[in-house]
Amino acid sequence: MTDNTTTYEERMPDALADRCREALREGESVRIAAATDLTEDLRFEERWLVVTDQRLMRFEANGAGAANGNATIEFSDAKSAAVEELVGSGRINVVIGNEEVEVIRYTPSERAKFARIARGIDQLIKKEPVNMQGEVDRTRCDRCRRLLPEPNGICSACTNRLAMMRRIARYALPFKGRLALMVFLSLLFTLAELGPPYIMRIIIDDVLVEPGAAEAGDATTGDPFTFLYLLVGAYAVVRLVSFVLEIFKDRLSVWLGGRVIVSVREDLYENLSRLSMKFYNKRQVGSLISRVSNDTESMMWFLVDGVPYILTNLLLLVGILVLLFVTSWQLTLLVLIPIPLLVIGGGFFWVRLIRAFRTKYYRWGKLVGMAGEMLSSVRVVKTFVQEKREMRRFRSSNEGVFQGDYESEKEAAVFFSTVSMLTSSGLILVWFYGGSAVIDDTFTPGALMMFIAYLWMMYEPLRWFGELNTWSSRAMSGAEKVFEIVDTPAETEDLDDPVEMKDVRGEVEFSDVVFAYEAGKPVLHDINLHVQPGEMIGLVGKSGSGKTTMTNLLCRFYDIDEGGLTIDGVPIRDISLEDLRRQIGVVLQDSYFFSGSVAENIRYSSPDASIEQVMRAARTANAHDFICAKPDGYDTQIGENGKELSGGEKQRIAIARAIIHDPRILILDEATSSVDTHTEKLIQEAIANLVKGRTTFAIAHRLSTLRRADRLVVLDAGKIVETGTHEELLDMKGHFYRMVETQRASTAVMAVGGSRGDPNRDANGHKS
Amino acid sequence: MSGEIEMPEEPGVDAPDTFEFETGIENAPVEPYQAHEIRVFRAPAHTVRMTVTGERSYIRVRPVNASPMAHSDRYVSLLDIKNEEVAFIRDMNDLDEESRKVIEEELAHRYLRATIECVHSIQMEYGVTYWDVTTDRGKREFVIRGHENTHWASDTRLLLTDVDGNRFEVIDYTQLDPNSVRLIETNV
Ligand SMILES: Nc1ncnc2c1ncn2[C@@H]1O[C@H](COP(=O)(O)OP(=O)(O)OP(=O)(O)O)[C@@H](O)[C@H]1O
Ligand SMILES: [Mg+2]
Repeated sequence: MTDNTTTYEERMPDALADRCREALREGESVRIAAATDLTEDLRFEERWLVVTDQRLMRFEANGAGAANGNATIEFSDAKSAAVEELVGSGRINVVIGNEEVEVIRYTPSERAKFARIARGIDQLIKKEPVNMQGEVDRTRCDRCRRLLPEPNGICSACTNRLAMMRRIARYALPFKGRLALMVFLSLLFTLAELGPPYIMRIIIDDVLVEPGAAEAGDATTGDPFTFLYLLVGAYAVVRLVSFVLEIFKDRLSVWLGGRVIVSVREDLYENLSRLSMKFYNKRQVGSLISRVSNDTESMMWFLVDGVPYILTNLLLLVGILVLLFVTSWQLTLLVLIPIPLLVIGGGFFWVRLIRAFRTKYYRWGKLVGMAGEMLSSVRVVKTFVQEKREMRRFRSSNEGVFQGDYESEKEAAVFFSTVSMLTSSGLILVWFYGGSAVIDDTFTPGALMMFIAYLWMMYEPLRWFGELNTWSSRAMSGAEKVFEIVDTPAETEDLDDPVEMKDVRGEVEFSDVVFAYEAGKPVLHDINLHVQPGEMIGLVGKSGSGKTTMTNLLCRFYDIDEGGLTIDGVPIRDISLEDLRRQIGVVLQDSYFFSGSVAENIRYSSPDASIEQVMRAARTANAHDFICAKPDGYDTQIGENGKELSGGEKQRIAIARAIIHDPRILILDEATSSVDTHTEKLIQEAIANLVKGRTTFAIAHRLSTLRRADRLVVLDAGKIVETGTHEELLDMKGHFYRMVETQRASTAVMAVGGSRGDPNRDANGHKS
Repeated sequence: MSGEIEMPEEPGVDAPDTFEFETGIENAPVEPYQAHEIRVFRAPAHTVRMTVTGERSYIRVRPVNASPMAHSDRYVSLLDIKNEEVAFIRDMNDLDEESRKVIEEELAHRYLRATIECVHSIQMEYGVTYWDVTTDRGKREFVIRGHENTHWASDTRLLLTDVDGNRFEVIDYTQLDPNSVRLIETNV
């Protein structure tokens, strides 16, 4: 595949390349060669599309095909080419004569690629310069060729755990001192833990069994009681020391883990707020929230509990093994026999166990989801009297959770019992051989007791190491998902050297703009519009015609794919985002509020605004009166969705918010729908106040709302079909005329702009 | 895409009282033609044309399924170039032979949902599931993210949508081979 945008060639299989070369005419050159994964009769097989400057050919992967007359289309017969999206597949059609002929089929996996190719074919047919620019998503991992969980995403298989640990460790770097201290304390703790069994051995062997040996061995004291007291004292001290060490070590690890997670979460949150709308488009908010909460939490538990646990137990394991070998290497080897069994058996059970747990978690998630859905839509449920059905659904789901719980716990019980059985079999061996050795006098009873005590200490963590594995996988996958977001570059980021624009006149120009939310499905084509500063543009058109999309581009929630969009002559891409958004205000039909008071919401964009400024804005927005009528006035708390407010109230607060923001360019998207006539009048006035002197893009289905617009732009299926003043458009008797006619026919109340003497028209001067 | 194509006569557009607009006030909806009133055929070979018996002709119509998952064999709507419904077919058997054949072919072309016949492996990793299957359309590997893309249409019918938007279906998983059944039971 080349980067060149005038050709696009994938590497053909040899047989095909040969056939293709033979098929070429004198002077004919290949411009496009691409494989698809779908045949014309919709089977998953490879097919090839080869396009030259003269014609288009289709081949099978082995090179068969193009000789067949149907497999070739001469460009001299064709008029144009385009993609058509079907359900679960897509195709490129070429217009021949006056009908569309399918050229090639592809699955959605190849959609972006063929969108580019179709454009190239179209340009070749029309003998235009070829430009197949556009990114093709990476769907497979570059390293292992595995399919990626999402296009351009990261390959879970290839992110290695160590690298991830290192990455997490970097967050701990600022706390180097404490980290070192923790490692040091863990070492001390391990040594202290190893002490007691050793002391026990001395007590048994030198004091209890052979008191004489103590006298002989220790010349200074000679009294076995003193020796015993000394040893018991030492035992107590060691226990005490390890107790204190454990407390400090745990405190430190909790602190460190917590700190690391705080920084990770901070990075995550910061990046989430910087990411472009395109990113959010593809993801569920729920799954993002889970990244902020669950994934960072699973990371945290792993850091706080898991890592220190692994650290101390590994140290302990090493210490114990060394001591065991020193005491009796033969016995130690015996003891190690059950360990492979433990690992194999554990592995076997573990698979079943994980499956059972996965089912359980899945069902559990569904139950929680269902409860959440019920609660958030409780109004709908009640309206339709569906409580009983909801209860039934819940009950069956609840039952499922129980089953999953029971199954998984059953498996777990078997697993853990098996583990203890295997463990104790090691102990049986030690008792048997060790006991014999003691009777034979080749081993002391103290050594045997010590041996057994160490064994217990060793088996205990081993039992949990399996668990630790899932635990760490969960934490690692959590970490992966978190870092994926932290690492995603904000798509619409500023250039290195953005143009500063503190003041904007508000001249906007769209030239030949093409835009698609999803590659290959453009929603705006060839948009050309020049808006003068202070002009009010009304955008009209059917639902889905691309009105909101145009304003999204202006806010630079998305970057345009082709063409140019400038503000005051400066390309929008060059303007710093902060400056851009400061100059643009948006009032939506469904405004979003933050939890806080009415006043705080109004001054959201400029927190320094005084309460008087807030009130002035609210008054201009015709919101003052109803706010004052609330028991808590401007201090009324509104929740996230502004549930306590009516639709019209929300809109007016949103307008007040835009007034305080004082943007040079204003976007009103359906700012006045779904309210009664009186409220609409109030909102109309509010808007009239807001619009003065600002470049305005107003979208409304009720054409009456747009009677003040200087110019109307009619969109149809992503294209501008008409532009002009009200009167001009009516005279044209085109799209707009028809829209007005139908609206006039259906609503006698809302008379529309053109009609003079309408009683609604003089409502402007009115102040309530 | 259809700029070059001869525009059919458009009934309805010129009559304002049949044009629906967001006004809250309902106009009498246009009744679409029904199966016994129409004939559907190809003319020329790649274009689907519909004529209303003895009345008018729509040069290019597009059959779509109103409920492609639950009722894939019924409720077919014929849309014109502007995506407005011109005919609605409740039951395909009400059509004449040729019309039915043409519509069925078009629907088969429009909807691609591969039926899984054998599952070779399902691997779950980090919340993503890798599938390796044989379908009625050949072998395929795909990746599914999240539970919302795995949908049980009934106790035994499973609908899947992969990360790219490819669609797959298991009509009745209990009828598959034992290994596939086990894989589905333990992983889905
Ligand atoms: N986030 C998105 N991702 C993908 N497609 C989208 C997205 N938003 C809108 N679209 C599609 O783009 C097209 C234009 O949408 P847009 O929101 O601009 O329409 P609109 O003219 O504002 O319609 P309405 O009057 O209903 O608000 C529609 O076909 C829509 O389905
Ligand atoms: Mg919109």
